[in-house]
Amino acid sequence: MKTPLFFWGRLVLGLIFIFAAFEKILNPADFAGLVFNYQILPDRLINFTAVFLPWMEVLLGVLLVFGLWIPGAVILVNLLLLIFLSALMFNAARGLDIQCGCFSTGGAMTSHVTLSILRDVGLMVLALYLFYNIFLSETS
Amino acid sequence: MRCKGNKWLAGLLQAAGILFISALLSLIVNGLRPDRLPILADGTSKFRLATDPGKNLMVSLDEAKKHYFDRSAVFLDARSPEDYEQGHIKGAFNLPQENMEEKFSEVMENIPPERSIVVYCDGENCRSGSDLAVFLLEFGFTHVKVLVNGWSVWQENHLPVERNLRDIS
Repeated sequence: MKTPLFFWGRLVLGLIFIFAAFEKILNPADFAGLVFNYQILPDRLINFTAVFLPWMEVLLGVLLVFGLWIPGAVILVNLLLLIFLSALMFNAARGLDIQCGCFSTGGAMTSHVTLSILRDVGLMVLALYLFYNIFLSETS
Repeated sequence: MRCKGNKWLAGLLQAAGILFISALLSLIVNGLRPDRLPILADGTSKFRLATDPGKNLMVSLDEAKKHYFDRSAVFLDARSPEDYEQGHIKGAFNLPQENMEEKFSEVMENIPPERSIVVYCDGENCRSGSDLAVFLLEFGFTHVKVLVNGWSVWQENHLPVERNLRDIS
């Protein structure tokens, strides 16, 4: 069922994804440094991830905003947010104080791991709502 | 319920399509831009902080603190002299990239190669810090660690700093 909430949900989530990718596309090398700092991926995958991830975010954002390929986009958005959230929590748990790199690749901002995690949880709730609406709701 | 299976199948196919298009798009754009990243390289050398496999150059704040209060490591500030002047970890030496050549011997001459060194800069990427660490390792210093986002986390944890008040106007 395409409720107004569904419409606004995908619009907001889509715009956030586009916004989040912007700086990363402009500064791939900086973003690669951020990906490296997470200390999760093997070295070989870092550059590819840094190049690929922002474009995936942009594409997902555009599809969400324009309402195209919504089931596929929603699956990937959920998957991606789950990965981001796990990575953040994993590093918070092992006490690695790094920058989120979620929205910016800039220099001097301080890191607030808890805030980043909460923000991701918020986005995740929105994404899960879309997922539920498409795949699980009885009326879908 | 009728087309639930189709919806899942469509979703998965679309997801695969999205992944494919993103990969294609990102590789094409990366190939076209002058500052492209080497996709298959082992990270770029700038980010490859592990000297031996599995040996990680990052140091946690707790470890750095221990080093600091035990006085078991030299702290090096890789930021610009201006930033250093405004405030730095108490006792840290400044070794900025821009005048590395003149400062290097001045700072490093009394530091034996096996002495523990903690390098820091500020901000999320901390490239100058890791660059300096890699440089020092190549130079023969054996115990070099990077405190990522060091200046920020040091201040956030209210650890000893030195500030030059005359510069704050």
